[in-house]
Amino acid sequence: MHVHKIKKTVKATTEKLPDTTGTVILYAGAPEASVDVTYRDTAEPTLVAGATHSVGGYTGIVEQATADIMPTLKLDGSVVWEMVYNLLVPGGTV
Amino acid sequence: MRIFFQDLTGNNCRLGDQTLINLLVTESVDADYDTASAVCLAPGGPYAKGTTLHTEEGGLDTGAWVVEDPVVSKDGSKTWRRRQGASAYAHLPLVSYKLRRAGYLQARRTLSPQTVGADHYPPKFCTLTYMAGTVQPDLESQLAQPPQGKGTIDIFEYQKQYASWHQVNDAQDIILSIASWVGLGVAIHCKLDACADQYNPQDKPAITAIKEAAAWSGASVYLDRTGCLQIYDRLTAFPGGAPPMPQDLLSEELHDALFSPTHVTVIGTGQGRYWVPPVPGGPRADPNLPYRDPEPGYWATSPTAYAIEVDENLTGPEAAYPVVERIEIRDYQITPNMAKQIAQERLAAVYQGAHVATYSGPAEGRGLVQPLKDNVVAVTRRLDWVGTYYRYEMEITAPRGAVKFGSAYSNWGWW
Repeated sequence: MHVHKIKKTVKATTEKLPDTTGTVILYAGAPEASVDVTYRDTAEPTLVAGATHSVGGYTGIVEQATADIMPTLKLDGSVVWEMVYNLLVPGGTV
Repeated sequence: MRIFFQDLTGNNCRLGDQTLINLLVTESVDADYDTASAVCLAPGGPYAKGTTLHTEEGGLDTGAWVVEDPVVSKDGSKTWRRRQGASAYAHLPLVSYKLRRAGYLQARRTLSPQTVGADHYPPKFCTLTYMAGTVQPDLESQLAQPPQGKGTIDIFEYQKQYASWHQVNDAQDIILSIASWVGLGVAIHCKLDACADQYNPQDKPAITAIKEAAAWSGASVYLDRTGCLQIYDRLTAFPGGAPPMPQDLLSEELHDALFSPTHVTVIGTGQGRYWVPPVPGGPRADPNLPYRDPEPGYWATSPTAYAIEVDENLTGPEAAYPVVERIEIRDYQITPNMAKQIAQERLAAVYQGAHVATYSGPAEGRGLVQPLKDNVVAVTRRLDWVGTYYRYEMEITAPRGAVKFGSAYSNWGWW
């Protein structure tokens, strides 16, 4: 397995609410953190979603996983697969 | 150019001292109680049920309310927030309230011993005439002691039963007594001529009893923004003037539905009267007596009861195909004028239900428009926080013009 790319994302929805002072206060909604891990391997993967998965040093719930075969490339004489795992990780920081 | 909503802030849109997130108010003369629902930010906790609060919309006091049900809601996705400048997440202190018009607690009180006091229970009312003409002679006939001496009750039982009646002059006395027992303010704007001979509103809600007593004269009842019960007649309250409009009119609906009923017939009995002719002045038979002064003629009450039947109707194409509602009054005596008033009040309600207009638009500047004032029968206001500002709209329902009655007949129309 060769990790090629890791992308971390943390997002929180915000909303503005009125206040007795007359000013509008900004509130942040609950945050969501996720990690996209891109790696290549020679074996055809079995993809699962919704399960806990560890890849590239990160563990989380698989929200989405894709695998593309790369016909122009060979690794150790074998066909190359490129996998992208989108993992939801707990907490608001990654 | 007029810009709406720009002056509305969390500081001037409040329930008590809590900022409104949204508010829906429904006020109508046809409902027992005005109602509202509100969602507020309540950092100090919700107001307790039964608390009386005022709503403030755009800086205007829009009436007093009683908290019926404060609902504290926490929702992982909707209320879990981090306030700007705060270090941690916490639930927004969101509270949704169900509100009823102030005076609700008093108006719904039942006329039970706890409310009226053991001394006044059951709350039996009778007119002075009925007491003198019926109740008292009946009680006296039951006395075991002289002067009758043939009955079965002693003087103490007689006094007890006599004192159990609340003697009143008219329906207004009944209404004021009930309002006083439950602690409700009352303002009477019309004549309440009719009164049942006897009335026992035992264990009824106060507002029901007051409505019944007012309805004898065809009057209606509305609990206003201050929690004061307004007793009014529709013909006077809604004379047909132009209602107040929103500052900008976004939509209007003009209704002109078929009336049902088209005719109202009131049937009852009244005390007959006869004319006592005038007596001219002049010398008397005894020449030693001074000349007699002339005496004017007058109507005297006859001991005979007469049937009264008064019919009123609304004008319109449907009047040619009458739908008649009969109101039979057996509990008290009426006059043809009272019968006419009762019929007209009923028809006025029909007219105002079918021949109305609704106007909707921004509510700014019109927060003080309320039913029973300014020729309005119902008002709905909605205040919503829509992300960065308040949206504040209203709908005004008003009768279209004065009630028009057709040619009525009465078989007793001589006074």
